[in-house]
Amino acid sequence: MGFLSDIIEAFVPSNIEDLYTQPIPSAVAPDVSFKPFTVSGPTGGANALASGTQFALNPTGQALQDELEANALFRFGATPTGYGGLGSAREQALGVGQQFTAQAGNYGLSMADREQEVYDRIRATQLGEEERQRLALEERLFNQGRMGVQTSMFGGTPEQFAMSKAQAEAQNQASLMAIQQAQAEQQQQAALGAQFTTLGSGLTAQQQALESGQQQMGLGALQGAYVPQAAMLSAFSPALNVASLADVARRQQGELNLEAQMADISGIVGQRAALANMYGGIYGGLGSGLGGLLGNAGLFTEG
Amino acid sequence: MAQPLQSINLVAPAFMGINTEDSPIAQDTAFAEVADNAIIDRRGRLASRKGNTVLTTNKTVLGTDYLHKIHEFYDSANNEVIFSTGNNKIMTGTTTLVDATPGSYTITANDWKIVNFNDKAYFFQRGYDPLVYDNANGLRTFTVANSGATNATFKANEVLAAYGRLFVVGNATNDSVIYWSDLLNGNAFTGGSSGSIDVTKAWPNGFDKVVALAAHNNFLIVFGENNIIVYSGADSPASMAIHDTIAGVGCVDRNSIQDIGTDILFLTPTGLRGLGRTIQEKSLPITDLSRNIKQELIANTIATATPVSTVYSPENYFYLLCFSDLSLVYCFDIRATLENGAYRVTRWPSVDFKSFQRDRNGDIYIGCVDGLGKYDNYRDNGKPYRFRYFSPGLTFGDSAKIKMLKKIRPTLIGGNNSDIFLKWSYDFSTDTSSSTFRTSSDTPGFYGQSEYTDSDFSAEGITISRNSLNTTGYGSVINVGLETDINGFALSIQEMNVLALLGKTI
Repeated sequence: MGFLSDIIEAFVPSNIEDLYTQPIPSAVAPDVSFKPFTVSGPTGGANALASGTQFALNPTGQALQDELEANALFRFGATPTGYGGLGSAREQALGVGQQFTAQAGNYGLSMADREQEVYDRIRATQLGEEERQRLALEERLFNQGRMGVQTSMFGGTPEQFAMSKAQAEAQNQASLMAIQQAQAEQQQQAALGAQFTTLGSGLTAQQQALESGQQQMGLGALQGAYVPQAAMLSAFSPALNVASLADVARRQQGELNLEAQMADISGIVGQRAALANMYGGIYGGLGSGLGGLLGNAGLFTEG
Repeated sequence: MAQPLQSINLVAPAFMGINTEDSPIAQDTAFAEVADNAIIDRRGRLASRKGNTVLTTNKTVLGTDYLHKIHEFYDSANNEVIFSTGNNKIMTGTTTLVDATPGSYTITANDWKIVNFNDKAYFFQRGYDPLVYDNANGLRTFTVANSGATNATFKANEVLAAYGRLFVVGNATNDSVIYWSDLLNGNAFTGGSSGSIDVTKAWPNGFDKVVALAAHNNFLIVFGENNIIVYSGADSPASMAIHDTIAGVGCVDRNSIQDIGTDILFLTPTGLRGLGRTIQEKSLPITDLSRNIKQELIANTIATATPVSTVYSPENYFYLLCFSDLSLVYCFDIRATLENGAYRVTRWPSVDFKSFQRDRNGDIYIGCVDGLGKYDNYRDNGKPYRFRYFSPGLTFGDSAKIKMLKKIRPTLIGGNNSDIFLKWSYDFSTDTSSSTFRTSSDTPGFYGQSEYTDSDFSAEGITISRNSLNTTGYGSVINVGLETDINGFALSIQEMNVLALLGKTI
C-alpha cells in the first residue's frame, strides 16, 4: 500500500474502516421462473413445459383430424368429379365455336368469294330448271318453226327475250340472295361461334367452380381437421389464464421480495453513509484544530 | 238398107279445156285435144283470146331484148308509173320506154321482183342493191335512200309486201333466212321491229331453199323447192308460228305465185297447184289444178330456162302462165274447177308474150320484144294469130265400129269474115282433111258507135255462123276441129254437130 493507506490504517479506527470494507448484503433474486402445468379437456390435453407446450388430442379428435387432413389432402390433389367431362365439353364447345368463328370468317375466303360460292350454289339449283325451260322453249320454237328468229327488238324471239330477261332477273336475285345469304351466314356463324365460345367459357367457369368447390371442400376438411385441436386450444386458454394468474402472483411476490431486499440494502447503505459522514466530520474537526495548534509549523514542513 | 245418121252434138265444145292426160277416146267430149290461143269466154264457150295491142312506139332503150317484168306503181296520191325491165335496164313509160336506172348502178340481169309498199315501189334482184321508188325522190338505191351501204344479206331475190312490212329472202349466199323490215319502212331491215327467221330447221322434209313468199289470210306462206311452210300470226313476225307444213310440194318460180283471193296459185315441179283452205282452216290441202295437162306442163317446166311469168285477171277469169323461152302460155280458167279438181286450161302457143302485169283498172299489160302492150283487141301487134280447136276422139258410143263422117255443122259466134278451116281426121291420124268456109261479115254495132248503120239489123251485134259442111272418109275414131286466124274479131264456138254413119264392126 501507499502512504495514504498506511496513514488510514494507522489513524482510522476499525469500525470506521468497516464501514467501507464490510460487504453490503446481496439482494437475492426471487424465483419467478415458469412453472409447468398441464391442461386437460374433452378433446385432449396440453402440457405447458419450460421447454415448450405439448398438445395431445384424444384418440377420437386425433382420428378426426387425421381423417379430415387426409381428406383435405385428397381434395387438394384430386381432380373434381365431372371436371374431365366438363373439360371435354369445353374443348368441344370451344372447338365448335372456333369452327363457327372460322366459318364466319369464311375460312379465309373474302366475302366476295363466299358470295360467289353461294351464288354458284343458288344458280346450280336454278340451272336445271332453266335448262329444262330453255329446252322446252327451244322445242316449242322448233315446233313452231321459229328456231332461227332474230329480231332487232328482242335479239331472238320475244319468248327467248322474256326467258333471258327472267334468267337475268333470277341471276340478279341470286346475286342479291348470295350477298344476303353470305352476310346472314357470317352473322349466323359468328353468333354460333359466340354461342359456343360462351358455352365453352361457361364450362370453363364451371370447371373453375368445380375446382373451387373442391378446394373449398378441401379447405373445409382442413378446417374441420383442426376443430378438435381448436377445441383443445380453446380449453387451453382458460387454463392458461389461470396459469398466468399464478405466474403473475409468483412474479409479483418475487418482485415484492426483491424490493424488500433492496430496501434493506438501501437502509444498510444509508446507515453506513451516515456513519461515514459523521466520522468524517469528526475527523475533519480534529484535523483543523490540530493544524491551528501547530501554527505555522505544522506537522508537516517542507523540506 | 240405109243407116240412120248418128249425131254427136258437141255443145260448147272444149269448154272443159284441153286434156292430154286421159285417153282420147275415153274423154268427155267437152274436153279438147287442142285449144290454141283460146279461152273459155264468159258464156262458157271456147273462144279466141284477145291479142297484144302494143303501146310502145319507141323502144330504143329496150334494144333487141324483151320486157322481162312490168310493174304498175301507184301511191295514195294517185301517182302512177309503169315500170318495166329489160336489156339490163329499168324503164318507165308505155309509148316511149325511158331508162330510169339510177346512175352508176350497173345491172346485168333482169330477174326483178317489184312490189308496192307504203307509197313506194321496191325492186329486188338477187345480189343487187335494192331500189326504192317514190314520187318525190324517184328511183334510188337503198344505199342512197338509207345513206349507207346496204348489207349483202338484204340483196334478196324474193320480196313480199305484207302485214305492214317487206319480207325478203334469197341473197347471194343464203336462201333460208327470211328478213322482215321495220314496220311500214321497207328501207329498214335493221333496227326497229325488223328481224329475220332462219327456216332451215323448219322444213318438214329435209333441207330446202326458200323460193317464194306469199301472204294469205294472215298467213305467211314460205315456198321452198319441195316444201311449204305456213306461218300464222305473220302480222307480228317475231311471234309467228308454223300453222301447217306441206312436204313434197314446192314452188319452182317465185313469179308463178298469184293470189286469186280465195286461193294462192303457184307452179310446182309437178304442175300448177293451189293452197285451198278447208272450211275449218286447219290444214291446207293441195289441189292439182293442172291435172289435165300434168305431164306436158311438167315437161315444159323442166324445159324452160327462163323465169316464168304469170298474171291473174279476175276480169278475164284466168291465170296465165308463160314460158317465155318456149313462146308458150297456158291459160287456166279459174272460175271453177272440174270434177277432178283441175282448172280448165288452154294453150297459147307461138306467142311472143314474155311478161304480164295487171293494173288497177283490170287491164293486162304484156311485155314483149316490141315493148309494152295490152291484152286487148284481137291482133298480136297488128298481126293475126291462129285459133285452133280439135276435139278428143269421138267414137259415137262404139269404138269398134266404122264411122263415116257425113257432116259437121259448127255454130260459131263472131269471127267477122274469117276463113274457118274445118278439119277432121280418123283414128288419131295427123293427116287431116279439111273444109273451109267464111263467116259472115257482119260487123257488130254498138249503141252510140254505130247507130243507124247496118248493125241496126244485125243479131244483137253478134255474128253467128251456122255452116253445114260435108265431110269424107271413115274410121273408128274421129277427131274434128277447126282453125282460123283471129284478125281483129273474136270467135267462139257455140257448138258443133257431128253427123256420122255407123258402119260394120271392125
